[in-house]
Amino acid sequence: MTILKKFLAMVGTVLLLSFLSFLAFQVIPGDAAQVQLGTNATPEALLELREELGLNDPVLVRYARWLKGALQGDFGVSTRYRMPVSELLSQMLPNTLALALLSLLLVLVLAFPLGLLCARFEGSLFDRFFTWVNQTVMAVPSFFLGILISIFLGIVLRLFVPGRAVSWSENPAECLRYLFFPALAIALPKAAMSVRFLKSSLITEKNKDYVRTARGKGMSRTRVLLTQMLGNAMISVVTFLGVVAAEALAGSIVVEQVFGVNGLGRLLVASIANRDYNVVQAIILYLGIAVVLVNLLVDVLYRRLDPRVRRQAS
Amino acid sequence: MKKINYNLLFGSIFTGAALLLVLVGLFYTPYDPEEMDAAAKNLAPSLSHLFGTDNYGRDLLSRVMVGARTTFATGILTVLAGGIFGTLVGLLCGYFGGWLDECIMRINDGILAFPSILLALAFVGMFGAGEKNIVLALGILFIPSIARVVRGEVLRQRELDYVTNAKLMGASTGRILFVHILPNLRRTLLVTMAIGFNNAVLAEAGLSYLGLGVQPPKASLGRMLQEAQSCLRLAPWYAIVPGVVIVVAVLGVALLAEAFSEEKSPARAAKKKGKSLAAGAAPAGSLLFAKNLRVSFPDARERMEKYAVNNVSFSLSPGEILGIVGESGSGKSMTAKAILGLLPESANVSGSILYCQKESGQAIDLLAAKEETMQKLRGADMAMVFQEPMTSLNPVRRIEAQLMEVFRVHHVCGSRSLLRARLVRALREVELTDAEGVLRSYPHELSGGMRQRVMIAMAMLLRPRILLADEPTTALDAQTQEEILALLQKLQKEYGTAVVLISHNLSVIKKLCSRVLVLERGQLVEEGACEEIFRAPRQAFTRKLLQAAQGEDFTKRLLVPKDSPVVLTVSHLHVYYGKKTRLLRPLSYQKEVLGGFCMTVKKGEVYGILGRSGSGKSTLARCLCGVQRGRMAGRIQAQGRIGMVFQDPYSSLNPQKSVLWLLEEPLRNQGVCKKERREQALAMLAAIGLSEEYAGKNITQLSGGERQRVAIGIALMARTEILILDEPVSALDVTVQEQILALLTKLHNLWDLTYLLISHDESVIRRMTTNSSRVDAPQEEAEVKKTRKNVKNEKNSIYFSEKFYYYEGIKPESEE
Repeated sequence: MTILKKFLAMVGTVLLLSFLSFLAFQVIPGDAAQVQLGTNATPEALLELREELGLNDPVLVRYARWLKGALQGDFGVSTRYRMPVSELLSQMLPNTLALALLSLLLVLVLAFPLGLLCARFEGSLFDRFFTWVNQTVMAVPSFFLGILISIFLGIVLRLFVPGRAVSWSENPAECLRYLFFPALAIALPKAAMSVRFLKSSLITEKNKDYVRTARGKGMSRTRVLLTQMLGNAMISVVTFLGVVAAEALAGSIVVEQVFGVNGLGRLLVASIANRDYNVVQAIILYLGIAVVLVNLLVDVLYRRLDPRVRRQAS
Repeated sequence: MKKINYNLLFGSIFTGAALLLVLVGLFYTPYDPEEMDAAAKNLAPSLSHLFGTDNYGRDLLSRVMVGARTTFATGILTVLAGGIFGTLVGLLCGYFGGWLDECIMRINDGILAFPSILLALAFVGMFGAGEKNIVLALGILFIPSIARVVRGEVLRQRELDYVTNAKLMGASTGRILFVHILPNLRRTLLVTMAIGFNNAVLAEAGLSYLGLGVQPPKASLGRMLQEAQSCLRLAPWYAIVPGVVIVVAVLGVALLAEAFSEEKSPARAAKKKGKSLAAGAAPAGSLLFAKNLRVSFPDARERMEKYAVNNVSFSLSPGEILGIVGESGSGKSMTAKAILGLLPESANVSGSILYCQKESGQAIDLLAAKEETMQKLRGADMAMVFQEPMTSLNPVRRIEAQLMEVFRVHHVCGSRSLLRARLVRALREVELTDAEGVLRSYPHELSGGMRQRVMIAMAMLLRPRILLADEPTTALDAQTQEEILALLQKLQKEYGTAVVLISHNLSVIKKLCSRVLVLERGQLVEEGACEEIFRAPRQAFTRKLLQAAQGEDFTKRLLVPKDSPVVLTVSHLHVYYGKKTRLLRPLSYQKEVLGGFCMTVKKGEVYGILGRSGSGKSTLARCLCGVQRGRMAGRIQAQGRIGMVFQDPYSSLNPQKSVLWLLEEPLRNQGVCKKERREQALAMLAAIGLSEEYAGKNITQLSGGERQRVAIGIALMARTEILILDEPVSALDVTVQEQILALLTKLHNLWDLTYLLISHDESVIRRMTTNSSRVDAPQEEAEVKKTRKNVKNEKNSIYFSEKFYYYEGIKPESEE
């Protein structure tokens, strides 16, 4: 029931997002006809093309038309690349998704062991060392990290060639290898944040009465941490990981630029520069849907983890 | 040993370095940052170009100085603009709530769900690239995050009694928001702003790097990184210099934020395991023998060890019930935790606790024992029941899993069904009839009494030889208390368990224990058989405790005028919570907290209201002061100014203010001039029994009793005639309780006050009030009906009718 409600709210959010972005592109000067014909176009030609493209209709009518197309997967034609936007997107989307998923995976693999160890041995040399490493890594913007990786792992150690991209169809293994380094650049700062968040959530749990009860039963610290505290801490950690997942997606936009990955991010940046609004609009919609989906997933998990919320829902 | 705050130190150094770079850059750059020199392209760092040059031959140091200025200016502008608006939105939403808050927060959450760089990109995508647009986008995007933090904090603060108190002092809404609440948000705001600054710097750098921010030839750190991208091979330093500046600045600010958000935590103690005093054999026949037990905590402020338990020795024989009694902070709980080895990590322990082992009969020192040994003992040989049944069970696991764990940890073998049967039996033993159902439940589905039973069942599961019960009944209501105590006694008799019962409540101790230890500030002041101590206490402190527990009858000292006029009438007060259940029927809500409460109070009376927790006592108090929100019906008439004293003096006084400031506040709101304010406040300070040196003290420096005195003083400022006392002594130790009640008696006689004393404690009501009535939760209507009848006969009150008078709120001096 609540999930259904959430789902409806999600559809609403996406619709609102699409409408707002559609509206925004209508108010800015220079419409599609202008872009297509260039600045030297005669007013008559402009008028004609506007009529032809249906740009003189009221905004709502045009939005409805656009939405109808979008629902069928038709986002119009890219003015720059002269090809349907959907086709363009379907080429770029897999790379971005793979990059985001790979970096999220790296975050999880790095964050959980480190976070648990730091919480278990709070105040030890190990914990203090990683607290400092964390603080520092969090301060590094992912694209600068990407540049550092390019310099040290790419140019100095020659593990890969900076700027080169390999597509999946060419060579899957090589493709993954080339995605690994940008994924690392995205993942490290997020992993540092996650370690910190996980640790602090666990430490908040540490002083709770139920932990004392569990210790009173004769459970060891490690066992209490894994079987009791982690379950409680996960309630807030899951929400945080949702944010991290969305950020991994956003991070890929900038980092794609550093490593020359052919993904949505690069396309978006190029399209903004070229005023290729059909593409920009479609990408914004795609990213919006992705973020909303992640949030829905988090919500479902959250309900599974916390019996108090679960009962309210039923 | 003073601990260096590394976060503060390095934070200051890094932030300072970044600031210095920008500040020097304002007045002096080694070269013109935009001057190109074809002869000096891509030079590595050298003495003439400290950071090298870029691909146009521009000096990198000069460029980074200018670039950092642009980037940091963006960050600061963003934070200031967003911060001010965000704080305002958060304050208003949090304080007023309602549908506007709902709407704004929905939008807020929507925006926050998206990573800010994504939104900034969308914004720039729509409105074009450029520096101004970036500041605008980031500033707007910062509003929701700060608004959410501020709102959350305001919501938390709003529930604290000091805000209600400020309202009662007559402060306007604006004053409450900006003078009372905002200073308490200082730290949160600072930290959020710092994080916001960092995010803005990173986002600006990211956008400029993508070519969507600052446009060339102007420099910004992100822009420089983009330009450096093309010559990574030739001039790697070109990328590293601006990148490192970003990292240093962001790291510095993050560390500073960390330092500010850190609470002053006690310094970690150097681990000193208690020196085992040559395992001197325990006195024959005793199960547990503590000798010279000391528990201390390092106190950072006073640079010395603070003793929670100081030189305490005692023994426990098999099967006896030993009581430990003392006020809060006397070291009762620490003693119990020391036995189980569950002291906080910062504690230093010395002395010895010898425990006579089950099989071998040999004594081991629990303080020197290895952690593994302790783990085997805990839960099996000794177990503990805690004060708070609400929080002592893991909220996300079923009761069955939590009980099963005891078996698993102690390697009790058996098939699942067998163990389950054992659990069912154990739960039946603690008088939980629906044992199966309880096993399947989560803790939040059980009542407080049931949870405490589960805790006892868990503790007794492996038949321990020692049960430590730390205030096991304090959090429960009177009837459940009795039942739980009877249960403990029954189990103790049945299994011959030795029980250490810790309580501040002497009647609990008297009922159960055979022997008692009396602790005062960590020291053992008296020890002996229970009867003896209650009959003939040897020590002054014990006498004081007993006296306080018996309680003086203050009604004899109260001067109550006869035939005085009625000053306060409440008729048929109904209060509702929750949503409306039926749309058309008036006054149909999910929950009725007060169902037609009536009373009349005459001038000079001390009127008592007795009720269990959750019976609506506090709601009644809030209604009388006019601070209750939500739906109400009925009528309240008052003659004279009403003041109120809250239960918890730790939350009812604004921690940011001084005693004098708080005492003056009601007068300040009435526009009394400064000189007179001070005079009156100092007079009040004397009246509440505090010396003049308290005037300048901050509230946080005061003890609970002193705080409650100040709270009474504030409520009585500005000629209050009717004083509502909502559990004024419940949060205090018994001896302090007596002092406060005595003070109230004195003030009552001095100024002809009328008191309305609300309490759950029958003895307080009996000893202090001249007239009283009960409140109960509405389903138990009997008492209320009786009062209703009384009201009918009363001449001056309004005649009972089915028609409701809608509550209109009382002005401080309404006259009827």
